[in-house]
Amino acid sequence: MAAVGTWAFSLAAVERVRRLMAAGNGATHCVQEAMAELENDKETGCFVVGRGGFPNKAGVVQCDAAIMEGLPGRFGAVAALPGVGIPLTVARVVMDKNTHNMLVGEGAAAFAKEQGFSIEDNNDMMSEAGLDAYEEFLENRKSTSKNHDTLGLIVLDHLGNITVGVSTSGAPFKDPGRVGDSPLPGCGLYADNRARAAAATGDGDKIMCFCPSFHVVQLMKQGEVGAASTVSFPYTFWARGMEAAEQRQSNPHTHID
Amino acid sequence: MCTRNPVIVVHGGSGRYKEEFKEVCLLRVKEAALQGYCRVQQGGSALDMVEEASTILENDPHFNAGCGAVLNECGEVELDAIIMDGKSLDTGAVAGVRNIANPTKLARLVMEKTKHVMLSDRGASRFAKALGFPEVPMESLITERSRERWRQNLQAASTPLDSQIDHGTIGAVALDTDGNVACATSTGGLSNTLVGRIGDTPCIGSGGYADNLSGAVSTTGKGEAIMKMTLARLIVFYMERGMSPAEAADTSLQCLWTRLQSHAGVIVIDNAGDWTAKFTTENMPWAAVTAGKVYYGIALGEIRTSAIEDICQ
Repeated sequence: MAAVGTWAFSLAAVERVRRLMAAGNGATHCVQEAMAELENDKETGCFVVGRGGFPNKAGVVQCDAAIMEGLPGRFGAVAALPGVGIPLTVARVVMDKNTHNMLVGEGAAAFAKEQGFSIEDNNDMMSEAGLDAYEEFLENRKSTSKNHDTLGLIVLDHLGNITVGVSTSGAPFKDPGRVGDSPLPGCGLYADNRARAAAATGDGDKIMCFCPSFHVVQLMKQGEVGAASTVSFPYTFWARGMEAAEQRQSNPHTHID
Repeated sequence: MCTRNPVIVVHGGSGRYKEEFKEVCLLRVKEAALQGYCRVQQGGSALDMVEEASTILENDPHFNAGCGAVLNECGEVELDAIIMDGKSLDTGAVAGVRNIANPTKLARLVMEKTKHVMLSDRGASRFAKALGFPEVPMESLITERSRERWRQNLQAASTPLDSQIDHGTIGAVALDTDGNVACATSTGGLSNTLVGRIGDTPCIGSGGYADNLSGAVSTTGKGEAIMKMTLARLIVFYMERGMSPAEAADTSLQCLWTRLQSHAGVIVIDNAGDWTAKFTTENMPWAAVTAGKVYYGIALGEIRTSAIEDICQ
């Protein structure tokens, strides 16, 4: 059993996973529940995730999220979804329905509403910090924000099932309707049936051209273990035997075991 | 300076075609390949070649792209497209865009005029409008064939996916005289789907992928399965490891069947000009033009050949 999350702010999510797994929950449930807590918290919106995340150029918060299971290979994603503070949960419902993989924009919102989610007013999706940043963007007509965080979470449960989830409000002040790497299979996330999974974070418009999550999983299949980072990268981690989740730092060009 | 023999391969969608559509679809795919090839004779790039071929098939009502695309559950046309430059890995894609006849051209503008890769839904339309990209009435994209298919699929016992086995995505891959590769794929998606459903086509690595270091791919088939395998990137991955386009295509299509019990079609080109058109469905109209010849077929195992006249004015 293990869990790993992107960036230091995922510590709360990985810690939640630890408690959920101790109660016997499976990988997919853990990913969904742990991520929903963080997504829905306006305070963590500054990490470019869910409620409180940065709006697009027109001032609307549009979220991308996706979830993928290794063993059955199921996948669900939403992109450019407005008005929902827990987009990863909507992606999970898309996955469970198993007719389509991805829904975008107004169609995604219509589906979410049909499934019982509230589509909230954009004001309820914005935080004060997000609003301030947006007003600064409008004044300067360019973003001073270098933020491109994303919440990515990989969970391996007691049955050996692996699930990966990613969620983001996307590049701050992006063009309306812009879809980044996060909800695309092989780009923001990937999982295969031998309990291998990857999640990516970075400047989505650049990294998606490499399909990095797919590539990492394929390299693992070829026998390369762990992962290397080209930049110093904080992540959080828990494995069976540890009393609590820990924050760690990967250093450039070293393997993470 | 590299002056390779340019190559273009074009497909019109994998499936099982009704007899009455086989020859006309094959003829149109052949024409699109020839016209795409002409672009390089006129000094065009691999990107120009794939854009030209895709645009011709989008404008042809026989294919599930642009005019002639299938309708979503509300009877509307929503289009997806991707175009990728193997030299820089720059990519443009549109997803769920409406009232646009040529989404491949719009995808190219996303690549060239924005710092993003994919625009969707109303954002894509807003971008098109801001650029003065031509908007068309949705009615002009709807054919009687698509409307009739939509009506039949409204019946409770219908199986939209099964009934659409003759009406697939279009795409092209090309290698130009500078040794650059490119891909493009364009579709109207699945008939009677939820509004906003996105398949593999506009997803980089799924509907298409191009990298000068190995080659380019365009895919067609059931989008949900292709996405779970990131089929285009998988084929390129195998070519990176030394497989030929044919070996990479066969291996990947076999993986798709073994893992997900899904059939598909792919066109693949490598950076040396070797190419293939492979499919595990009954049919896929395809055509390739290179070195004075055109190769084409629609049935499994079929390869017809003819010399090309000087058709590029």
